[in-house]
Amino acid sequence: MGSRIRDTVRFLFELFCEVSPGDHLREPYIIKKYPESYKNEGELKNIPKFTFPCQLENTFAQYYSFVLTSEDSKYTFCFCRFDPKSNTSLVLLSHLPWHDIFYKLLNCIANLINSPGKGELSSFLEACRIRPPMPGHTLKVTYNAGHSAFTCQCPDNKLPSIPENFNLTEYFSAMDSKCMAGLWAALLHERRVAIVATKPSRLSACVQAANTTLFPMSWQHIFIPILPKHLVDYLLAPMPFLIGVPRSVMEGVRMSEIGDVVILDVDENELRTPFNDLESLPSDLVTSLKKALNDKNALGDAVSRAFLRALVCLIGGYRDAIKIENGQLITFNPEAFVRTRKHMQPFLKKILQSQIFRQFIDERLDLLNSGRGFNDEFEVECNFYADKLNTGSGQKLKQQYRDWAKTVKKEGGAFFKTVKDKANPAVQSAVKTVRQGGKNMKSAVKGLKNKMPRTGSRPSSINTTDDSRFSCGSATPVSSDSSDSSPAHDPLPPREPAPTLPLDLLTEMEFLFASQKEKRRDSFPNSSQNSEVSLADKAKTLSPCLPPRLPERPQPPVRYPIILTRKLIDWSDAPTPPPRATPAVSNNAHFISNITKNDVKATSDFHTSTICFTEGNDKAKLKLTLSSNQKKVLQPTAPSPCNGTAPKPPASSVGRANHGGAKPRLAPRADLAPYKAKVQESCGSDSDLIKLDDSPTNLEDFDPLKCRDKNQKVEQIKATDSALLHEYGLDFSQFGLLDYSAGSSTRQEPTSNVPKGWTTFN
Amino acid sequence: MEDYKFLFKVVLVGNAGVGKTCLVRRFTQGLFPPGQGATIGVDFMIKTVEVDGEKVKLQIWDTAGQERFRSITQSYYRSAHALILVYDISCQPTFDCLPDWLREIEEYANNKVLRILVGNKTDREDREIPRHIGEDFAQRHGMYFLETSAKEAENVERLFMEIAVELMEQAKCKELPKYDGSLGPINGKTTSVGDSSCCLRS
Repeated sequence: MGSRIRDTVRFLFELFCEVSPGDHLREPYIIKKYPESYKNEGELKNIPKFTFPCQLENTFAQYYSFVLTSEDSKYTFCFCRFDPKSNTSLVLLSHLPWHDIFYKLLNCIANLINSPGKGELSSFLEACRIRPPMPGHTLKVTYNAGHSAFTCQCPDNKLPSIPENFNLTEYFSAMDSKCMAGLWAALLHERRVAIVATKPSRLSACVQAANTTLFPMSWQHIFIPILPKHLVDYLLAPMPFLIGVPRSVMEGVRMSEIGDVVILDVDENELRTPFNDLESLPSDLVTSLKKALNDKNALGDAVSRAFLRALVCLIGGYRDAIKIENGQLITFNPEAFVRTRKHMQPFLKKILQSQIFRQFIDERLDLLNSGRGFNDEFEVECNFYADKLNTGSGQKLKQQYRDWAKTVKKEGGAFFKTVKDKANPAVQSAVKTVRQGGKNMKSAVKGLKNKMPRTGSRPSSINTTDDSRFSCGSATPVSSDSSDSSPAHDPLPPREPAPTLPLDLLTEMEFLFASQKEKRRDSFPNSSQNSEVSLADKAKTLSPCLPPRLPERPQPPVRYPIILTRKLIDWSDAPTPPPRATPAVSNNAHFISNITKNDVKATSDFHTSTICFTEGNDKAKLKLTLSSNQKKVLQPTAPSPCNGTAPKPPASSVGRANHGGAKPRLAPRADLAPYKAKVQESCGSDSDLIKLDDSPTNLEDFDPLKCRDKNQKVEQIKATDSALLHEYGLDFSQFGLLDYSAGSSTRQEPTSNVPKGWTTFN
Repeated sequence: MEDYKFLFKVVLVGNAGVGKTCLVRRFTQGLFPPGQGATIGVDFMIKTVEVDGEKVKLQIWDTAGQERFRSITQSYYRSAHALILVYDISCQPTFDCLPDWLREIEEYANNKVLRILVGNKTDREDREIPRHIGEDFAQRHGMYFLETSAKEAENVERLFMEIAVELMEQAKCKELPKYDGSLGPINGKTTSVGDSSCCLRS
C-alpha cells in the first residue's frame, strides 16, 4: 500500500524542540528538546537545517511546516513557530499531518514559555505527549493553573475548508484561480514542480494545500514542502517532485540544469510552465473549476469541493472500469476506464500512466479485495455525477460488489488468502507478519478481522455473523456507513481520514479502532462460545487455512498494541463494575491476562495520569458494553452510532461512577497534577465502539459505495452547494435530491436491522 | 559546480534488499553528497567519469521506498536518461517482481529511456536465477543486461561506464541531452552488455 502515514502512531507528537538559527559562526542548532531521551540521530541532525532553510524575516511570528521522509517512504511532519522576539523556532515533530492542531499546540507552548512559571513546560509537554485522540474523542490538557487549556480532536473526514484550514486558506488567498488550476493540472501530469515563495509560512502552506487538491489521490513522488539550501541539488531530480523552494534558495539555482520544471511563484502570483497541462483538460471542466475558484469569498469547503468535482469529472469513471466477477479478484480495466469519458480520452490515457492514479486504483482494489470497501467524499460526488449521467454506475457497482462479497463468503477464507498472495510485496509482507506472529498489530487485527468471519469453527455465529463480520470490516474508518445513515447529525463525525491524506490517516485510524474491535470481538459477542480461548488459541481456531505459522503468534506485539493492552488491563481490573460477573467478563479477563504480559514488557514509559484519565472513560464505555452484555443496550446505540444522544447518558453515568474508582488506583503523579489531559468522550464515541465491532449487520448494510454524510449532504444540496450542482446541470429539486433521499432512507433500513442481527447471537 | 560536457541522470529501481544502494556506493566510492535518503526518501550520488576524453557527470538516483509501488509508471523516469532495474540473483522473488516493475513501461511503446537489467550479488553461493534466464528476460524486454557484485566490486564500474558511453553516443546524435525523455531512440537494441565479454562466470 502506498500510504505515507505510519500505521502506528503512538504519540500525539514525537519530539518538541527549540531551535536557534545560529549565526555566521554557527549552523542552526537545537537549544533544548523534549523528551531529552529522543534518539533519532538522523532527524535530530536535520531538524535545525530544515527549521531554518534560509534567512527568516525577523518581524512576525511565522507558522510553517516541513516534512521528512524516512527510508521506508513514511512522512514525519514537523511544525514550526518562529518567534522574532526570541529569534528561535519552536518545533514539534509528529507522525500526524494535523497542521492546525499542532500550530495551536505550539501557541500553547509559546504561552507557557513566555509565562513566568517556566518550570511548567516539561510537565505540560509530558501531559500532551500521549496517544493521539481517537476519532470522536477530545484531548484536553489544562495549564496555567487551570486557566488555560489545550484541546484537540482527531480531524474529521470532511474536506479542508476555509478559513479553518490554515494551509488551504493561505493558498487560496495567495493565488488566483488561473495559477491554482494550472498547478493542479501540472500535478495531475506529475510534472517536476517547484513552488517558490519568500516566506516559509506561505511556502509550506501552499505546498501542502496543493497536495490536498489532488484528493482522493495524493502526491507519490519527492515531496519537500520546504527545501533547505544544502539540498538544492534535489531540484535536479529526474523524477517528479513537488518542492517548496524559498526564494533565496531558488536564486542559487542554474535554471539550465534543472530542465523542464513547472514553477509557481507565489509572491508574484505567477505560474510558469513549459507544458500545456491545463489546456489538455476539457475546457468546460477548466472553465467551471476556475469559476468556482474565482469566488474570492468562497468559504467552507467550496474550494476543496471544486477540485474534487473536477476530479470526479475526470476520473470518477474508474468505478465503471472496476471488473467484478464472482470468485475472482476484483480488477481494474484500463481500456474500460478510458471509455468512461468520451470527450477526454487523451487525458485519461495519460493519467493511466501516472503514479498517483495507479496508486489510487491499487489502494481502491486492495480495499475491495480485502472486503473492507471504502467510502469518502469522492464517492459521494461520484454518485451525484453518475446520477446526472444516468449511468447508474453507483448502483451497479454496489450490487456487483455485494454479490461478489457473498460469493467470497460462501467460498470461505481461501479467496482472501489468494488475494493477499497476489497482492504487492508490501501487502504480502504485511500478511506474512500477521501470520508469523502479529508483530504488527494493525495487520494482525486486519488479518483476524478477515479471517474470523470465514471460518467454520463457530457454527452458531457463522450464519449470521458472516455478513456482519464482513460488515465489521467495512465499518472501520474506511466506510462507516451505517453511522452516517443514522438520522441524527453528528457534530464530530466520522473516523475517516482527513481529506488531505485520506487513506493514510485512515489506515492509522483503522488501527485505533481495530484494536478496540479485536478486543471486543473477543470479549463480547463470541464470548459465550469461546470462553476459554486465548488470543493465540483463537487465532488458531479461526484461521484453519494458515496453521503452520500461527504457533509463533504469542510473541509480544510491538508498539501501538500497547495501548490496547493497557486498556485491557484497566478494564479487567476496573473497580466495582456493577454487573461484572457475566461469563463474558471472566472470559475477557482470561484474554486480557494473555496480553498483559506484553503490556508489562513494553509499556514502562507510558505516561500515567493522563492515560489513567483517558482509560477511565474508555473503561466506562467498555463497562457499558460488558455490563450490559446484552443486545438491549446495543440496540439503541448501534443504529445511531454517531448520534450519541441515545447511548450517551448511560455511558457517561457509568463513566462517572467508574472514574471515582479508577483514580485512586492510578494516582496521577504529583508534578502532573495541574495538567490533566483528559480524553473526553465526545458525541458518538461510545457508539463508535459498539458500532465498529459489535454491531453485526446484514450484508445489505455493508455498502462500501454508499453515500456517507447523507443528512449533511442533503442539507448541503439544499443550501450552499446548489449553485455548484447546477454547474453539473443537476437539478436536485427534480430528481437528484429525491433519488438521494429515497436512497438514504432505504439504506437506513439495514441499520435498523442491527438488533435483529444480534438476536441470532443468543 | 565543476565543469562537464554531459550530465546524465540514472535511476535505480527494484525490490527492497537487492543492493541498489550498495551498487551506487560502490561505484561512487564516497564521492557523493551526504546521504539524505533518510530525510527526503530519495538519495542521489554524483560521479564524473571520462569518456573519449570528455567529462561526463553521472547523477545516480537511488530511490529508497519505491518498493511501495506495485509497478512504476512512465512519469517516474520521464526525465531520467537511464533506468537500472536491479534484482538479486540469489532471491527468486526479486526476479519474479520484474514484470510488475516493467508492466506499465511495457505498455507504452514510445518510451525511450535506456534500460538496463542488473542481476546483483554474484558473490553469493546460493544462486537461484541462472544467468541465461536473466539474459532472456532482458532480451525479451529490450534491455541491456549485466550481472554484478557490489560486494566484490565486480562489473560495477563497467555497468556505469557502459551507461555513460551509450548515453553519450545517443546524446551526440541528438546534440546536448534534453531532460524530458526526448532522447533519441535506442534503435531497438537488445544487445546484452555482458554478451561480448567473458568476465562473468555463470
